[in-house]
Amino acid sequence: MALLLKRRGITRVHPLEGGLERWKALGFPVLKLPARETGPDPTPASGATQVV
Amino acid sequence: MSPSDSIQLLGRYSVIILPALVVAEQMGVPLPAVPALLAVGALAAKSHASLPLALGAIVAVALPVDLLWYELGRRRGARVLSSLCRLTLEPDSCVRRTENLFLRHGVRAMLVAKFLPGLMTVMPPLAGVFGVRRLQFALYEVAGVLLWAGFWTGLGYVFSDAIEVAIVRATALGRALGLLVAVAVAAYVLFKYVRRSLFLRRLRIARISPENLRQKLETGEEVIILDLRTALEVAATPYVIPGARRVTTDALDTRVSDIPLDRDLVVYCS
Repeated sequence: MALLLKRRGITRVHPLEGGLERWKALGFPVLKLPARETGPDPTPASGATQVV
Repeated sequence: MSPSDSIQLLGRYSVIILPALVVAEQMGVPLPAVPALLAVGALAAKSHASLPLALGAIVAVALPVDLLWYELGRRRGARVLSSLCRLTLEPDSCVRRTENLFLRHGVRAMLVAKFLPGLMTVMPPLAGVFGVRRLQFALYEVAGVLLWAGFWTGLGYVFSDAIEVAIVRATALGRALGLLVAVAVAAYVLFKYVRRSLFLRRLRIARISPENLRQKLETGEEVIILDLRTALEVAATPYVIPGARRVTTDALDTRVSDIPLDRDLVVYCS
């Protein structure tokens, strides 16, 4: 995906080390997604609630 | 061993060799099951092998193995898929590709999965992750195996004369052909490996640590965060980093024009 973005001319792409798992493991804030936003066709995480 | 010796051996032990090759593919080992299926089809046309017996043996062995993967998918979820995909030549797109196929076609995707490289191993645990019923899984599994093995052996049966000519020519070429095939396979695997290594090295250079991202967010730096996880991964971990936007692979192309070029873009998966 990062390569795809770079090919589309977006050069300032930075993959997050360890992804969401590492972010969560470090205790950094995350938002819980409501059930309607966990489907295959996502909408922006507007209804999310902060849990950490 | 010459190609004609191999064919004779295959004809004699097709009910052992074919299921063994299929199981190897199910475990992610890239052994040539398709050429063997073609050869058995050709042998059956000359009455040197029994197609029903070979197909029955394949189903009898493939079903329990795939049921095992299916149960692992049911019990352990998406983690099994990630582990399995590490064994394939396309580990970065493996889960996404399989999941997209499943989301688009549902359990019917199992009928064609065995024809697509890399998906044979991943599809059964994915069916487990998606909660396909056991009986439905077993029925589609048997149908998928019969369709796949039946297609290739049938092709071998129909074109048995052409396959026989190919085997005679291959025998004439002897070891040179074996060497050529081995070099071609090795070159292909090496090409995939080098391409992925170069890509990962480029990504490593540009990676951002969670600590660094948090600092940027806390200092109010304008950073765009994209959550690129698949629907399955989001369902397993229904959380996002504050401010992140979820984008699917399919939607990414259409949303690229919305991304400002003068800002840092942080992307993350699971």
